[in-house]
Amino acid sequence: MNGETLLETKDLTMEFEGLKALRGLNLQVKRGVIHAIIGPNGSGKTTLFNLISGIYHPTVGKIFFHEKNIAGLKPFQIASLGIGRTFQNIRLFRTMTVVENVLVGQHYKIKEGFMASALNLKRIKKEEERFKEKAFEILKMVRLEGKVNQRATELPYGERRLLELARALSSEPHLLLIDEPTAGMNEIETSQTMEIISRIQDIGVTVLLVEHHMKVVMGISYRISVLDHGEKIAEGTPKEIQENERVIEAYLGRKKR
Amino acid sequence: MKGYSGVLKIVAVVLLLLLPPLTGQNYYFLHVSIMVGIFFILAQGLNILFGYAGQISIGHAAFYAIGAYTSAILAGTLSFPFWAAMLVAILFTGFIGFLLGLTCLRLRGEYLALTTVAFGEIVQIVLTQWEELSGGPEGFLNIPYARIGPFSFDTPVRFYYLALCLALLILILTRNLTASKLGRSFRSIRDDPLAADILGVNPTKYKLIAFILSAFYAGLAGSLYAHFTRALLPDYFNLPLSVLIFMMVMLGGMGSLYGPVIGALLLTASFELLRSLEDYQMVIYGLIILLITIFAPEGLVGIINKKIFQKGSTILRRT
Repeated sequence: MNGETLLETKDLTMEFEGLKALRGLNLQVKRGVIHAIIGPNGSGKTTLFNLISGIYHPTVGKIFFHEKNIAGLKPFQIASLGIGRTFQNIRLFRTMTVVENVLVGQHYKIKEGFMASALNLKRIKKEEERFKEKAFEILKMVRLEGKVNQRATELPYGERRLLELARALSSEPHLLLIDEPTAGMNEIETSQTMEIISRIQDIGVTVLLVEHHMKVVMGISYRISVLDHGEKIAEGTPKEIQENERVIEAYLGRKKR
Repeated sequence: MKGYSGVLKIVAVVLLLLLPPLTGQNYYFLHVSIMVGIFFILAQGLNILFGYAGQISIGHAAFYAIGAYTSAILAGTLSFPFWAAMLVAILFTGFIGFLLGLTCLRLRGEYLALTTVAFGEIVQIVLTQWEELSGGPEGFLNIPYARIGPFSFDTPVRFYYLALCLALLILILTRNLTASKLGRSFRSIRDDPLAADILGVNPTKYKLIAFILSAFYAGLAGSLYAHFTRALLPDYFNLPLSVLIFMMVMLGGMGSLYGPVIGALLLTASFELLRSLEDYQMVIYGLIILLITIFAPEGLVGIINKKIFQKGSTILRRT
């Protein structure tokens, strides 16, 4: 293994009233790669995302991002350090337009003082224009540039997922957590999404990906970690994982002897 | 379309400026108009808190009362100049808004609604009981006229222009604030607080800002009211008044800039006209809330945008 570690979890454990959703997970994510987390339902993938993004605080263990322990920080603080995410069940701002959704993603980039906004100074107008321009660029990346002024909820399902991706991307994160980006998508949308995720990697964003669609995972991941019942049971390149006995067992059940 | 709405705005402002001479300086008409202005400021404040930031309050009469009594005590008992009394009233009401916001940070929906109702009741009881300060149930009387330098707003016409200026100022201020990052942050925590948090919007911070801003507006409205009626009764700031303010936001359209204008206009007028039906007031409000929630969740502004200006136009709905 080469390259610098961007995210590292040490002995990460999450308990919910006696139920261990994650047990002592040690995970290293290298900078600049697409790292996938796979595993059957209930294996702790989304719990891991919720821990990294600060929605949960771990029962035990640490999460290092840029070598700083972020476990226990609040979501907005973690966002400010450069971690973005999307949700398995899309969570867009439903009363806002497409471009406004992306503008909220730029929260930390936009500097507008209260008084300046109140007086609607020229500077604010310019600032708003500049960021709308930027939002437009990001929307181009997910091919939504033609729908900037539509309400987010008016978009078809697949495009809503892409909008959420654009919104997360607009904060210019160093690490992007993507939770099942192709869930519910058809073949064409799936391959488009794969392409988009590859392009996200190309612009220098490290991607941590939870995905069920094996074709997607095997096609774009640099490294794969497999979770089962809150534990890491395997890790390696896509090829290694495909041939791993324990992984096959976890997915298909134990062979009868 | 933009030019059209610009003309509409200019016509509206000119009409408002000419209102006193056009109506022959009818005292009753001016009185109602001034109350529309005051209620607009109040409702716009609640709109920021409830419409934009999604934090319900059915105790807004309390902030209104705090603004009114603070201004009255400062200008009356302590002989502050009017503008200073108003300024301190705004700031003090904002501070109380901050404290209530802190208390309510973890409350949502019906729990927040009930807490704000309780807050309204507490403030009303304090104003009734603390006679040395507030004049008690007999009321706080002899509040001085609003006066800036040598100019005294001692006639309804003069006060009308004062209220109009402040209401327009509030309209512009609200437009500027809600069209910027602040407005988007408010709406993001209303639509999905978790997603907002994940994107870096600190929900606690923006909830508190909304509470403070909303209380600022109510403080201003209260101060205006105190120097307009020049006498305050604690009974006036009761629960039905809080419900009325809430109704203005609901009826006009939550989270829209012009919603409170329409809400304040319609409900202030009907409040005045239906005074004799006071016993049925709450029944009528209840019915309106029911109808709005079922048939027009975006309020009258929503209907106007849909029916008259067609979909997509933003004459009244500025987002």
